Amino acid sequence: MKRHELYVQLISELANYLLHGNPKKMVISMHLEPDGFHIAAIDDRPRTEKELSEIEHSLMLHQRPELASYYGTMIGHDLLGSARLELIGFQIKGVKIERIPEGGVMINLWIGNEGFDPAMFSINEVPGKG
Amino acid sequence: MVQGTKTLNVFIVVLVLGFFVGGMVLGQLGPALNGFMRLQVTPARLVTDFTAVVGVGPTLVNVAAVGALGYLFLKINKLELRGAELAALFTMMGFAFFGKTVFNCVPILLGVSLSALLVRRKPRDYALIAMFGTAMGPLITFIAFELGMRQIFALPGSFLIGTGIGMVLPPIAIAMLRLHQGYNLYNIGLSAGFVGLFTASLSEAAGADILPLTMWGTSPEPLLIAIIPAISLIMLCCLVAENPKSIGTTFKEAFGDFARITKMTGRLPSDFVDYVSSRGALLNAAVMGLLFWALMLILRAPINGPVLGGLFTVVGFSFFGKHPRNVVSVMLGVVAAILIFGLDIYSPAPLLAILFCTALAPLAGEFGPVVGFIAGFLHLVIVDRTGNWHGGMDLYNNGFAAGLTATLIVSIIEWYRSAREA
Repeated sequence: MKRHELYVQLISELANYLLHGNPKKMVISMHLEPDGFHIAAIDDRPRTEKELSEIEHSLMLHQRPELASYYGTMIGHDLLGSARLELIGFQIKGVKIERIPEGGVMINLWIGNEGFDPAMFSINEVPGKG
Repeated sequence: MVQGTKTLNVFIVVLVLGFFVGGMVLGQLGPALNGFMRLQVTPARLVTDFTAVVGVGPTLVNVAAVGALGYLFLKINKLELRGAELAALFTMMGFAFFGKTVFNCVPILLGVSLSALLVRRKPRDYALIAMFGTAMGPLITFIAFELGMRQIFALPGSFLIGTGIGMVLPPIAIAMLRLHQGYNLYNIGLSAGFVGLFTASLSEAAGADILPLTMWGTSPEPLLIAIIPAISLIMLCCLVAENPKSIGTTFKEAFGDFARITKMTGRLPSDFVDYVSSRGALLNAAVMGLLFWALMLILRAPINGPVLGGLFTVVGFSFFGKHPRNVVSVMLGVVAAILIFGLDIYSPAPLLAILFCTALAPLAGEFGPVVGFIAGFLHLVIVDRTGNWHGGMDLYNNGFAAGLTATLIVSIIEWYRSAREA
């Protein structure tokens, strides 16, 4: 998959997920590096602890190349029905989810190739994936 | 390796060894191996019940061999056993009762792996496509043993064409996935049906006769009837093995996880082992296997090779998308269509549709039982026709029909929702 297609698809799926919560504000930013990138998404919808742990669980699934290369191709394309953070979870190297003072949530995702080191990014507290 | 995965590995190894030993004992060693070898050269297009061709013993050896091949393929690709892998393994083993052999699976596995290397990926990236892709096995047997070519050309020719088919499967499978958006669990059935349509048409254009095959066992075999309860029992034992010191707590937790599974839509890729837990998935698979097995007994259906294949697929996909809540309405849709159109419920197509229609479970899971019912109804209407299109070359004919049905329904829902909201 071309890299820019992956950017678009990841951002689409993430935006799809956040928009399902009907936020009044949503910001998605991307930071590129030669062998990886960081996406940060912010919204203003308050979430319960349970919702936060569900987001974290979906995104922190094991890396599954056999699912990512096949079913993962649906990411950002097929938006009928509920958004699927799991499709993102198969592809990412690091994730951090935190509440923001405005009441919403900030989702940080790090994606990269095998030699990619998420710690090189400015947001460097990356929990290990399971 | 995590605890749950370890249990699942033991489960599959026990299952494969059980089939091998059972087959060898029942088939009395030499005759069992002879029958197994005979299956490798037997036409395998739909519907060829191997238990009716060579008997139960050699068929069980074939199931063990195909299961071992799938398991070895996963190990070579360094993939852990999880929901998707279990679905693929059970599908391979189930269809080894009526169509898949080691001979006709190997070229597809090789072809899909070569396809991955061609686009600079690792073969493991397309391992699931390869395993499910063995649905095209009958095409290889057709070229090798049905076309009437001289064996010196037929055998390498079938291997090369099978490898070639394997190489084109990944792009087709990925494109088909986008048609139904993950609402048909048997996506490779749709993909293989698409390829089978072209290959059958090419064969007929070249002058080949693709005659319909129907080998359908009807004599009751106690061992075949006992297979699904035995597998369910092994799954429950695996549950206990995860925490033998506290069986009550284990089952309580397993029921909690099972309840969580039944709240999921089942849309691809819903890996219950990963998303929930291996114990919840094992319990779901045991319950689903027993439910559908009991249904077949209530209907007095013959528990033959194809019916067992259907039951295996139900059990396998109960780790990857199916659960009692999302299959019932689809199945009722099929039964309603059978009754309304006055079809014989004991003939292969309607009976197998009752089992395989559960490919459409995600539609009921996401959009509710009414949509599920309509999907089941439409599925039955189309499934007999699609089998003729590819001449029985695609073993997952119900997956083909389910893919077309899901595409139709998804298109309508998508249009209605987006047009109304615009």
